[in-house]
Amino acid sequence: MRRPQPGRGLWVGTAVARPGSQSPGARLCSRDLQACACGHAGEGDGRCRCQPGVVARYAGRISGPLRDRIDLWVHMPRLDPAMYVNSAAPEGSAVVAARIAASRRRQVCRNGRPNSGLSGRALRAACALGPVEQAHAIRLAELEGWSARGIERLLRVARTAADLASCDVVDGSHLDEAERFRSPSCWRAGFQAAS
Amino acid sequence: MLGVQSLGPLAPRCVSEPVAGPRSAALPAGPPPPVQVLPDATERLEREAWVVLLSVSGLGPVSFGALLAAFGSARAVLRAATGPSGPMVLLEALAEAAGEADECRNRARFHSCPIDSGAVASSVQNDGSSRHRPAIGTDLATRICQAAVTGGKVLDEVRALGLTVVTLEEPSYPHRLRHVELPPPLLFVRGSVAALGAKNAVAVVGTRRPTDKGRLIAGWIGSAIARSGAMVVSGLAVGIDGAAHAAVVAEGGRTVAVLGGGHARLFPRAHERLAEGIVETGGAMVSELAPETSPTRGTFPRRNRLISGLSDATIVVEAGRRSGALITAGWALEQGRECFLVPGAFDSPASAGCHAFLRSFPDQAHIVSGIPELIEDLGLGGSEAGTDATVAEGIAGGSRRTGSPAASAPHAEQAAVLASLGPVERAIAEELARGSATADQLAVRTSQPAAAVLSALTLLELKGLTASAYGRYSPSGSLGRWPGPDRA
Repeated sequence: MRRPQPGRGLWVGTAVARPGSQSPGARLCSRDLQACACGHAGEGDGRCRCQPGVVARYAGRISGPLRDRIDLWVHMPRLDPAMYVNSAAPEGSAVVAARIAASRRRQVCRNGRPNSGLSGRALRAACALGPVEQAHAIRLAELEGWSARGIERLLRVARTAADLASCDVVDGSHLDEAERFRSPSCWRAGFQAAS
Repeated sequence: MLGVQSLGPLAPRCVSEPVAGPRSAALPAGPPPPVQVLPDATERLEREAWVVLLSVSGLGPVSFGALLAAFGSARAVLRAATGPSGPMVLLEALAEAAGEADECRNRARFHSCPIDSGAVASSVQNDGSSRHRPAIGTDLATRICQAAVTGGKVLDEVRALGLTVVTLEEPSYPHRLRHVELPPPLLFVRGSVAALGAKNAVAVVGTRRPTDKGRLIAGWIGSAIARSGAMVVSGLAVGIDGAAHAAVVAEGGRTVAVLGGGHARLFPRAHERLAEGIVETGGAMVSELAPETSPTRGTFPRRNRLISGLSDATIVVEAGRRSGALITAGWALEQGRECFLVPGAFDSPASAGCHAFLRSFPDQAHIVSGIPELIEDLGLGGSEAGTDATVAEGIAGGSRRTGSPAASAPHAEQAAVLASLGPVERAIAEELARGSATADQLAVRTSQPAAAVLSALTLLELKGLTASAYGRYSPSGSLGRWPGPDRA
């Protein structure tokens, strides 16, 4: 288990809590984890040498409440070398950065602050879910067994996904997209299916 | 508890009577009554005595048989064991009754892999007679005497877990297992005892560290066998075993899990929910060990002979060079059952054991060359799935390579599921049916933007068509079935 990125994050794994390293207003928590002790779990090539119980224990070190507070779960499997070598010119970082900047401008124009700074009420107003989307959000939340905090985070990520797509309203596809980032099931269910 | 009642109840508080009976009872008290014609109550007591005796660790079929031969009944053994000089009485009786050489040879066969049983047997013959004899002696005898006193505890556990006890002497004992060498005298069953005696039974086993493809193939084979109406036997381990069980449960078919430990020590714990599913769909969990027995290194090879013994054929999906699945395959050949192995790429470590086995037994071991071919080779083609398949054939049309009905039915169902999806989801679902992939790989292969792929994956997961683990998505539900030779 590696140290999280410094800055706006939580420090886990150090014996002593360091208040200075947690910025109180930060809503973005980033963690950097390996899937298991050897790092090969879930790659599907039978290379992971960890005993199943070890993988489960390793994943279980991230407690539920902490999982709940992590906004984005992005899995970074080992890149297939052929995919790296053969793939067409990928999108440049500058292009992506411009898209992100545009999305942030949208957020600030609409609410006076980025989505990460919205209060719960302002966030719900900004999302303005229709009845169909509401039902869908409930279904997703029930499926994953989220807490209220988890649902709020889903909405925040969905609002951002819609902003990245330059959409004024959050629709079902944005919720679905956000669910991929919000779902630690890749982590939780993982050690059952892939161990 | 239902199971206990349906097959002769283990009524509470019965064991204490014969066990704590006349303290001064002579060892074999008169001529023992023949076991087959016992009246009900005596039969129940005898059955309970079997449970108590066989819960003694280290007492296998061989020593149990020897004791039974010496004393006439399990109750007599327990009665003798509770006597003043119990251990000595047991030891003397065993020494007379058990032919020493037989004992050693049988024990060696029992604990070793049949592939190299020759080597083990010869090594035992060198020093075996002196090494094995005392081990059976004092330690085991003392343990039997302890069990005779505390026997009620085991029975309480059996009752508390709702287990059904099936003895070798009952007609409900699975007929396939009855015919193996040294069948376990007693089976502890959770779930349906009838499932064990299903008309057709096939074991699907493999490594605990499969590749994604191996896991997928195990699922294909499991669901194809379930759809053909046969029962799937496996070992509830993580990896191939779990994938095969899960595929059968998803089909609503019957599957039997043979445990490497007792029922109270279910291993691995991660499969507790799968175990519930197995029982709910009419399958069973079986163990020859007493409920509180912990699974150990030695119990798993022993368990493997039950897996092959309960089945008409054994299929090994993936096995590394030293995989325990090869022990199961070896037992299958030894027991005169069919044995199939899924070949992999010859440089794949996960298939090295399969290749080595195929090379060692070129005449007996068969290759799995496809799902329809396998179903045909197993002789499962013409069962009840036939009508289903003729309908499917009509809907889907198209060319099939083989006419095996049980295997072609999934095509139509899969086609119908795919047709019900939106364009992006369908493209991704078709890609997933070929094997597991990450979201990025799916985006590249389907040329869809990442955002669309992600939201499509959520929808597919809600529909139960995919499951994710560690960022990789694998097909499940009807996508998890064999997609046919042209699409895989």
